[in-house]
Amino acid sequence: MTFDTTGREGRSVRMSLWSRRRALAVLCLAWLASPRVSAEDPKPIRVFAASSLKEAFGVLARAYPHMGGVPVELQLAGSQELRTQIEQGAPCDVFAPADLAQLKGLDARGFGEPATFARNALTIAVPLGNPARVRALADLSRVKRVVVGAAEVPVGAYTRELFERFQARLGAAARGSIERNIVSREANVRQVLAKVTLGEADAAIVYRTDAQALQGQVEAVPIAPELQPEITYPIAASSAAGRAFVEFVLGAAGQKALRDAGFSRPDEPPGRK
Amino acid sequence: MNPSLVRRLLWLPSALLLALIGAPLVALLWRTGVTALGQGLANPLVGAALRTSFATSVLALVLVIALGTPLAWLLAHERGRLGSWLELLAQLPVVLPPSMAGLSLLLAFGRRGLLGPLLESLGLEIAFTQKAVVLAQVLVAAPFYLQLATAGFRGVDERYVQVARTLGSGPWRTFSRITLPLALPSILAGAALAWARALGEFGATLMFAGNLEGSTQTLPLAIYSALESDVRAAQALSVILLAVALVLLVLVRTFGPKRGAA
Repeated sequence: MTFDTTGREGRSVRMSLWSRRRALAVLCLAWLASPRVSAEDPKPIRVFAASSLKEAFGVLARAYPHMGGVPVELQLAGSQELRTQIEQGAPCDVFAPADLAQLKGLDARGFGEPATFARNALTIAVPLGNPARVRALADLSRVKRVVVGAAEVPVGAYTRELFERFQARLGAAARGSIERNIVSREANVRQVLAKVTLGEADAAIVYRTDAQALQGQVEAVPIAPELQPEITYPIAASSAAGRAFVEFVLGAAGQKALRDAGFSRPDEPPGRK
Repeated sequence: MNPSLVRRLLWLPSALLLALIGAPLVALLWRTGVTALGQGLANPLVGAALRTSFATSVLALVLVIALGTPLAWLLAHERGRLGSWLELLAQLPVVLPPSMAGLSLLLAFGRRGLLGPLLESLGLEIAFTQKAVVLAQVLVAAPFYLQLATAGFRGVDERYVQVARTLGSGPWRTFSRITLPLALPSILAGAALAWARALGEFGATLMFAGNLEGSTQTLPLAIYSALESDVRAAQALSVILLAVALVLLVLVRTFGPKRGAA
């Protein structure tokens, strides 16, 4: 933990100082000589999207430049995390969180009126082979480890809504018997799902599209439509280039990619596909 | 160049680095302020996380000392290749990314982990319980204790031990009356550093123990969670951790091995 401070201190310091200066000079020259981004290169747009949009927006981001659009830099994380980044000044042209609440107050950052571009539903994800034989939401009362999203992130807020609807039908005791088994509340839906793929969770509440994206690693057990909360995805842009991308998402090609990933149309009733 | 000029020039890079270290701390205190600190501390998240952090880190520290002291003594006296390899292994967690440590802990002690079946036959569930929090803390904190305690034992002059033995003192008496008191400053400093590190553990806990308020949500995890709802609470928690870390570090410097020793 301590350093030898005796010996040829002065000399080695002087040498390192010289070499430091030289290194600094080389760095400055390299920076000056490095090519600037040329004017012809289209400026990429930054798209912030909820974790659950990973596959669908991955497809969209790759397709957009081929359809006359500019390159897309995609940032995927929990909606709340992305919102915090935007509030802290992260440059962002398009924001597509998993619920409308995350866009509230962002008009101060230049974001326009949001449009709804997709719907989703919740599902129960279980490990392959469904070892705990989960058939419906009520079965979560008899498994050992349930993982859900944190209440602050959209998937967690939707899960709470689901539990409230469940409670309205089956009572507070039934809800309590499920919530007792929750061992972790994760910061985004993909972290929730990872606990199932690792075999650590017996069951997890995720979006239908996430279970579909990880087909072959998890199994999905549907949740009854009457229990489903309404899950809509808003999208808003803060720049002209961003608005063009939003049009693309709302257009035929964008909507097809979203259908393929398992999302429902914005006008469809929830819980159905 | 004369030495005083060199000295003055050295301040340039030094000030930059010190500013980088100091600016976030000043910003945290400045932006939090006294009122926000009070409001943040009132958040129910804070009390639960404080209790969880305190209980788990104290237990982790007890384990580190109980298991680490014998190992540190062995490392100090083990000469040859085995000793240096063991010391390398013991230092490894310092340089491991916490997320990697967490994943490895899951792969070792998780349900489908290497030791999963064995633990299950013993009726032990570790992942996503407070046991997992403690285990993650022991893993990341132990190297700090081991390093200082080993240095402390190495620093004990063997002649004192031999003199005590020739005067008829038994091995245990020699250890408790000669070796331990001489190594104590290092051991205490190691314990304080290990405790600070255990309190700060985040990545491995998040992956291996999950994040559940009142159970596995420690202070650093509560900061992470609070950021998503109440930034003031996150800042208040950060100020608490900063204060605790400062106190522990001051203790290390006051009672620990004197500079230049060890």
